[in-house]
Amino acid sequence: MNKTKIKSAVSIEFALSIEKAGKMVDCIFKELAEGLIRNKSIKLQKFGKINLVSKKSPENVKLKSIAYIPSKKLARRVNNNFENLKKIKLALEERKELESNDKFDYKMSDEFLKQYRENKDEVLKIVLEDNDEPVKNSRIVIPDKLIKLHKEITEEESKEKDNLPG
Amino acid sequence: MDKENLIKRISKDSGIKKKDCYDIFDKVIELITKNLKKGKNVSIENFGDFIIQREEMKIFIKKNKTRIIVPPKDVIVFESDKLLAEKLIAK
Repeated sequence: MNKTKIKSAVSIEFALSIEKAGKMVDCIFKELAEGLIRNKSIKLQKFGKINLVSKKSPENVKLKSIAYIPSKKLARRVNNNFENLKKIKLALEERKELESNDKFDYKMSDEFLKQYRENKDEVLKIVLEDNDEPVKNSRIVIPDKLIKLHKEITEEESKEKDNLPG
Repeated sequence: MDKENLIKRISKDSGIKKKDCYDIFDKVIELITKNLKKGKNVSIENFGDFIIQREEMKIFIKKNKTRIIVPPKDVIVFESDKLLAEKLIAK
């Protein structure tokens, strides 16, 4: 979607000529930009906040940048493919014999990632196939499957680990 | 800056009634959010782009050998227009 489409949508909705609607939309974004410059922040309900934030670069130099923080609801809706997925903590047994522990872990992680990605695409495909607005009803389906996958793979991992010497 | 101030200025600038300004403004915001919700990017000339990016799944390994799996996430990223950013940061 771009400005032209917004203009035509406004013109249809409010029965305005395209010229008038165009002017109005231009005006809105002009004022938004000016307001942002004047006050360094804009806050709109149901949409979010745009403001100026300062960050530190790796060399410890202060940098300013513009950040957009969406409203909670919007952020949740955008993320609805993965909304129900939570962080998972996996405790590993200590293994002093394995010096290159980290390598071992990364190796497993890659496999896990690969499997995860493959399956994730498959799941998403099924849901996305027949529709315009996939997400509404599929919200529960995807994460549940993915969570199951999470668990399956992680259980496999821990079993494999148990069989390893040490 | 909040909505009311914004609408005042828009109404002054465009010469359209405040109430109509409200309606049109709400519609514009609704259009943007609707598209983002559908997973479509929104780009607005001279203002900036709202882009949906997928943060891939990450795995952290802690010193005590716990691993934390952070699931993937879709987030909205705002890339402001260069001129606007320059003006804003210069101020």
